Amino acid sequence: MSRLEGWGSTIACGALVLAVFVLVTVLTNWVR
Amino acid sequence: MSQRRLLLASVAAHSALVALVLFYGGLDAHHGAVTLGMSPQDMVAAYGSGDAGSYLKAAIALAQHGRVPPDSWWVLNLWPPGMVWVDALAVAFSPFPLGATVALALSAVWGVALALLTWPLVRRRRWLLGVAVAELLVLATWPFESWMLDDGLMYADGFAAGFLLIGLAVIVHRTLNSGPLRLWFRDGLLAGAATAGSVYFRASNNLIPVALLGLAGLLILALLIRRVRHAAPSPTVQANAVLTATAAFTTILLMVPYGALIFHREHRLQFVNTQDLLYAVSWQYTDPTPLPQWLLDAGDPLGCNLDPRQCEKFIAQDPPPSAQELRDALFDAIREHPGRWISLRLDTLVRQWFTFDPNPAEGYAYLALLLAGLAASLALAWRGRWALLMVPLAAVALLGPFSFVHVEERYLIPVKLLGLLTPTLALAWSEDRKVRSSGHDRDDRASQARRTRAVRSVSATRSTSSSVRSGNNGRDSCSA
Repeated sequence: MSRLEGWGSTIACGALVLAVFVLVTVLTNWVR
Repeated sequence: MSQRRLLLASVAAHSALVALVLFYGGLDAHHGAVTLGMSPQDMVAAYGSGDAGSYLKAAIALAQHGRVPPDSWWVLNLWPPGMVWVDALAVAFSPFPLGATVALALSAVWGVALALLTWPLVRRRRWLLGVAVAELLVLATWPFESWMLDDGLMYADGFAAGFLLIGLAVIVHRTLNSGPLRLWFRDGLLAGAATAGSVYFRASNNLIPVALLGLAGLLILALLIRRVRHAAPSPTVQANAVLTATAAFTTILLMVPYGALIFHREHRLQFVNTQDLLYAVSWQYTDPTPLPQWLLDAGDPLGCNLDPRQCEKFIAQDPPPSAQELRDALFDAIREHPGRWISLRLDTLVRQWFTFDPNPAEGYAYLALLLAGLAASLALAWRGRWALLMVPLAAVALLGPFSFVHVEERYLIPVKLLGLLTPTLALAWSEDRKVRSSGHDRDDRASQARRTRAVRSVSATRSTSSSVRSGNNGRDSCSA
């Protein structure tokens, strides 16, 4: 199984979405 | 080379290629009205009141005051905040000039987009040269050379189209490659994040998450119907539902923070508030301030073109009509003149598809690619790759608002660029056909063999019984 298809990649994508969520929240707070 | 390294190398090579296009003339080369090395204030002066200038005014205020002051909030009522954020982050934190920072960020986004769009093609080494030539040709077409990577660099179209294609390409690849359920979930997360990115940069992508949610809803409904009928759940439908539902909910989740602010502040769910403006422009034919030529070219004033009498009434009306009256009248006019409405909209759409194209062949090429991509995705969806319905649904979601919104030529860029998914879809369709036809051959051979065995067995039985009857112990059957 390639590393692109392991559990690690799924967890990394979950972390990416959380990071984007935090970023969007911080930026939203910035324009407020 | 492992798949992971090849993908990373492809992203790096594509980012470098896009950066090369953007930085080819150096920091002082003109990209429309601006250069990559210009100060933000000079850029504002160069852009004036256009979209890019408005983004920048709000961004500079944000970088200076730590918030968007009330007198700049109109920018966030007309456009989503993505480009304002990018500009403000660049102004506040980047060690490079503003234009260069935006160009680097855009190179990264399109590096990922192009790597995904060419992923199944670059894995075949003998195709590499052909793919590279085709990509250079694509980068030389009008959507890239004008709006996204040159004159319109500081507009949001490049980012929005890049994110949109990343989201759709991820959905297409997962649907074509199948795999364990967690990969469908993972790619749903990725596609959702990219789709949210496209919505944060262009309000015209607003209907994409709605289309995703609709498709996910249909697939979940199909699963529920099977359950009610006590049929075995279909793993294919399950996987497609996981992909689309994860993508839809991730998009919505990522839209929540800014959506909450807009709801709290402006009491609306949509990021932008352009509808009232659109209805007003639709009925402004003989207004003392004539409409600008670009708006006339884009098909407005639609209401006045459909119903000139109502248009004159509105202009003479005192007090002026409310936004709701204008909206209701526009939809009444569309209902009363459906033929004229279709003809006006098609005329505008076709004209704008080819407008500014220095070479009409480009318009035809993008149209042919788009139609081929739609056909391939429908054909593959018909064979159980249901999430590929997102390709035609995205086309509908992008084109739908043009039934009453003005059609600027750059609004059609994402629709044209859907055609860039076609090589992947066409390759998959052709491989699918080969597999099916070889499957048919195998089936044919197997059934032929079964028939032969059956015929032999029947004839053996017959000859055995006849030889038993005749007493020759089946010798005839051996000779037969």
